[in-house]
Amino acid sequence: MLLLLLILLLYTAQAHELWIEKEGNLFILLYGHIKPNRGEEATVRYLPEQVLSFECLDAEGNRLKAELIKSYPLKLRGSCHMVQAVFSSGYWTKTPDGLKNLPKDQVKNPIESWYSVEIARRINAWKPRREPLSNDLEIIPVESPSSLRVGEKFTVIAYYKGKPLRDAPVYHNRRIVGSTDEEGRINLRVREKGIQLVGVTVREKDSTGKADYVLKTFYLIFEVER
Amino acid sequence: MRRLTFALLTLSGLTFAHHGVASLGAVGLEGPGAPLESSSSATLPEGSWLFYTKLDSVKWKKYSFSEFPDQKDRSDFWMFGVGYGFKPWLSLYLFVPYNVKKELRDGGEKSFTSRGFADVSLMAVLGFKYDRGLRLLPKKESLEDMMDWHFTLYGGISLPTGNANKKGYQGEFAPDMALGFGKPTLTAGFTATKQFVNLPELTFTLDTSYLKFFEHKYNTGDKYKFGDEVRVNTALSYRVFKDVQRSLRFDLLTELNYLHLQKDKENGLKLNDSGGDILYGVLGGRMYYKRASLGAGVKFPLWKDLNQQSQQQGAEGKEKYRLIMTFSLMF
Repeated sequence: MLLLLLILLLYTAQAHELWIEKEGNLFILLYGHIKPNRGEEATVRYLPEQVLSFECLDAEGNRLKAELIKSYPLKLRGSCHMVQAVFSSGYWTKTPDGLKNLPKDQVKNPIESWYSVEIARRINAWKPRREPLSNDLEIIPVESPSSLRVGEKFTVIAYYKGKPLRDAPVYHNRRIVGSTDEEGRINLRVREKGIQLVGVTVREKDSTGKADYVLKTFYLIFEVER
Repeated sequence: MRRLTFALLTLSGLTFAHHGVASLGAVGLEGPGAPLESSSSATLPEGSWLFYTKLDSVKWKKYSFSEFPDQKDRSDFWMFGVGYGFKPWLSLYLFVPYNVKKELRDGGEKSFTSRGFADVSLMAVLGFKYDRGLRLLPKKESLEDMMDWHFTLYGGISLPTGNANKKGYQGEFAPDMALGFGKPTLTAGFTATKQFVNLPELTFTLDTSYLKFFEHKYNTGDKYKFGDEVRVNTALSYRVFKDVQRSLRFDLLTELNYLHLQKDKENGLKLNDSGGDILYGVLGGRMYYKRASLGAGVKFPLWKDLNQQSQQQGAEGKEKYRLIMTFSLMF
């Protein structure tokens, strides 16, 4: 039952995705549908203030200097092993009149509410490791993504609060492909060249009282060229 | 919810000709397909139960009653089974068959029917896969893992619970109309299954098995041994429809089933009008709804080379057709 709930949450979080594209040393933050279905918009315009951070990192997760270009879409110029953005579309509340982009104390008859936080980490160069880079929600690859080819499988590990995240539904390029095992691991397969987006979602208690919970999603992004 | 995020249905098919072979299969909304007659390489998720029913209804070809006054008419082989996943890589099954065999006698003027429960059987299935090396099936597999080569080794034994001495028409000795074999029978098999990465709707299955019978001495004093069986089955299933919201899926199935039958022996002597080789074709479909599955298909002989073929009315290879239906439920 819990897993079903998480799948529903994942679908909710999956309504839009956050990802980072690369053009040379320029990293572009995009929001919308990375693999749009027919009739869906590829990108959705966001407000710069919805981006809580957009950083250039080394392979250890240490921050590097980079130039942030604040026009839409946000861009980052630099020599980055990894690029990471934290984005929030704010509070969402379900009401009998539909879904509102407001906290529950600002709507009539709230049914369910959450605060949405999305973290996108693009890996350009990966130093193999078995530990998370942070104490938050994240997914790390076991193998170096740069060695992957179309058709090959790869393993990722999901962590939450420094520990492996078990039984968490994982999706890859808009398909839910399974859930993590007791060690937080799951095997995925590269189906096509280009951007690979792996996502996982957790629900946290909201401490502000403005929502029932915080819905946190982590996206691991890398590219496969062959 | 053990091996996949989506609920997977694990299905068991069971062939039951005049002898019997168990087969297994697993499928989810997006996972590999399961054939009707062949065994796929799936095991039951750990801690899951499977309930299973199958009907193999055979209509036999009939010939001139002036030449053959007694002829097999039709046979309905029912199979009821229950399975349990002890480990992700080990499933155990118990099968209980119920047979109805009807023949037309005395030039078709009279009929005789033998019906009742036949020999129960126990089956164990060991599942493994090739994922950067051969390994036992893990507790959890993603949909992408399911596209690896999967294999099973299976083995089973039947217990002589059916009435092997049930008499035929007017009390005649008729082992093929009895409900049991009188002795345990042994089954050993191997399967390989592959869901194609580039075409995940398509699943290929290979299944080989050997069934060993032992001689039984009947109450009449006669000794009879059914010929051992070798089966080599291949199957393709193609997912033509799925609806994730409704947990609904439909597959089309086609199979080639090769069957080699050794000659039966009566009182130590081989019966020349028994045994042979048959190649069957199967066309069918399977529908999945939540944790239930319903399969149906028609099986018919495409080619046969039977010993003294003209004398084998009512034996494998001499069917008009076989109608196969299965229903299974996992929880």
